Amino acid sequence: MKDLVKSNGRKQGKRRIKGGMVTKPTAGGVIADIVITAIVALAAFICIIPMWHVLMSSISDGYDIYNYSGIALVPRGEVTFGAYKELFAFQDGLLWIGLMNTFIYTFGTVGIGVCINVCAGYALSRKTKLGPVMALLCVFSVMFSGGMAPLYWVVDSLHLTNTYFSVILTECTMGMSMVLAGMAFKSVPEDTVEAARIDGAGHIRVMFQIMLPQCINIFMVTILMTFINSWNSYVGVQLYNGFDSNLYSLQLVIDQFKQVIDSLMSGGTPPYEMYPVQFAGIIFTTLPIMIAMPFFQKQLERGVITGAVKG
Amino acid sequence: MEDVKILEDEAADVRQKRRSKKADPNHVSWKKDFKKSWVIYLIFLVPLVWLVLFHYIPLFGIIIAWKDYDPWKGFFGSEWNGWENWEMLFTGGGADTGGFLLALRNTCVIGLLNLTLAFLPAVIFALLVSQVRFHRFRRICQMLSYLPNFVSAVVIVQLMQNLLGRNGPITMLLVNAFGAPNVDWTNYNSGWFWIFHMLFGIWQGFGFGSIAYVAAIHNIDDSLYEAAALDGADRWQMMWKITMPQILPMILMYWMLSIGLVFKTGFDKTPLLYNPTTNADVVDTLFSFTMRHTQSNDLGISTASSLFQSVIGTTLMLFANWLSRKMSGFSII
Repeated sequence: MKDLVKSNGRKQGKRRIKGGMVTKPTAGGVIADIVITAIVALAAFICIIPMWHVLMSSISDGYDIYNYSGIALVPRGEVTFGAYKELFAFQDGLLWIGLMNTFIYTFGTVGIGVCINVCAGYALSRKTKLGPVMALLCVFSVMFSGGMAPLYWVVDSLHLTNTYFSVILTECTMGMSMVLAGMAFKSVPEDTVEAARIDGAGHIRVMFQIMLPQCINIFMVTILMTFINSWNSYVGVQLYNGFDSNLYSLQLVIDQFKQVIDSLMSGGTPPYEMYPVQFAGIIFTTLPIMIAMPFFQKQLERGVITGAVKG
Repeated sequence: MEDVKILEDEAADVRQKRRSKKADPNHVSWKKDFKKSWVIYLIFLVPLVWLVLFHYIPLFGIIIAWKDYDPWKGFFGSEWNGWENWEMLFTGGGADTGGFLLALRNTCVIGLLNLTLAFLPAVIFALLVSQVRFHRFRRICQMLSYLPNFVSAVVIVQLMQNLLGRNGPITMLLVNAFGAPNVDWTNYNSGWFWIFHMLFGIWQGFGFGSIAYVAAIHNIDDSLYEAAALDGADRWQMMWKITMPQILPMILMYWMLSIGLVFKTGFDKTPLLYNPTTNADVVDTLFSFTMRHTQSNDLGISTASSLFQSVIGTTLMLFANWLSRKMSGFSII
């Protein structure tokens, strides 16, 4: 495992590519290099071009972009930030309510999720008589679940619908994360735990001060994924809080904006300056994640690889 | 998908423990164990409460599928109605429930397209990206290819609606290149929607899906390539004769595991795209069907549909696991 992570890090950069440069480069080899590089560049280009189109559309002139049917590589018409101004004030600043709600959902989900996962991880990693039963309870929940409707019934019966807690509590963790946390805690060397216990550290102290710092890397991956999923998800909010627009997350807010703008544009004299507002909304919701992503490239890759080779 | 594999360790552990219980020489009595580790059980109470509330009680709630659920009467007050909900689902008896069979068909089509075609681009991209010579360039390309994976479903749907809409860039491209009709493909009852849905799914997932393959390729022993180069093999031959056989078990394993998830992932776009008047025949899936009926508090129908989904999902997962164990000796459970 460690070798795999290392080889995917800095070390591989100094290594040559697989099967290349062993012999002298030939003409055919150079052509192959060019073709491969071009295809990879094209793939990367395809990956970002739709978002680039949206970004350029959002700073384009409303009339020009509405009547343009192509990919906008450069802004159409005069560059204007009017769409963003409209977006911030659209529907009495619903955007800001959505932003605040998304923060509440996301941080609530991550915070409560981490607490539950750490507790589960610690309990699953200790040797106890009920250990297998606890593990089975978690594993079975991954295998079979009742699905969306019975969960809605429970949330509704607990009178959690139309509160923040409906989304936070249902999405904060799952059986899989608990199992993963258990494996992370098991990877901590038993010696350090025992040494701490002999020195008189209690369970809670061992859990948070001895074990958690040693497996924080594996936890960070889970936290990161939960954070991104929670920022991006709309299903829970729509299902449980869909009737109260004061509880909408950013995703649902821009979904509603799109519908409002669509109905505005279908009228007789469409207000063209409103058309780019939907693109501005997309940029506003997606940009934070897009900017943060390069900083987490290593963690994300490690997360996937850790999963692939089973810790 | 990689999550599932981690279960293997856990399950094997449990099995091992269960087996060795009788032969265990230092057997601890329940009383002693409880005295020693009651704090641990207390700590486990936190996740246990969550599991019971949000997993095991809903599991008990699946019997709503055999009830005529009325929110005013509650769970115990609602009357049993036998197989009526199920009959309505599968014969289209109710006024608003006829869509279940169509939803089932669409789920199967989208799932099978994902299973047969959508896993390939990740493999191809991994093979290509590992052949790029410039380290910095390769890292940038990889990072850009991960980005779509972190675009939310709402945004993807808006992108689809913009790019595939009437006069949208992709629609116009198809009109000009192939003489396709100028229609709003996201609001049109045509099977092409499935293809577009799959293409957007590939766009979203191929970069992120390639991470594991890239890592596997970089882990192949260098001496194999050096020996092949001495024997005069070119890169194309090396790819087919060395790289492919080395990562083939991994591709196969991923593919078989994805059978178990085929009806579970990638459907969260459909409730947003669904429009009862224009595209319901091709867009509606089990996910959007269940969500719609849950939202309208039609819990009898939606629980039956939920349960159907879960049973199929679990059966497929067990089947995938069996297949994987048969063919590559690797199993989750």
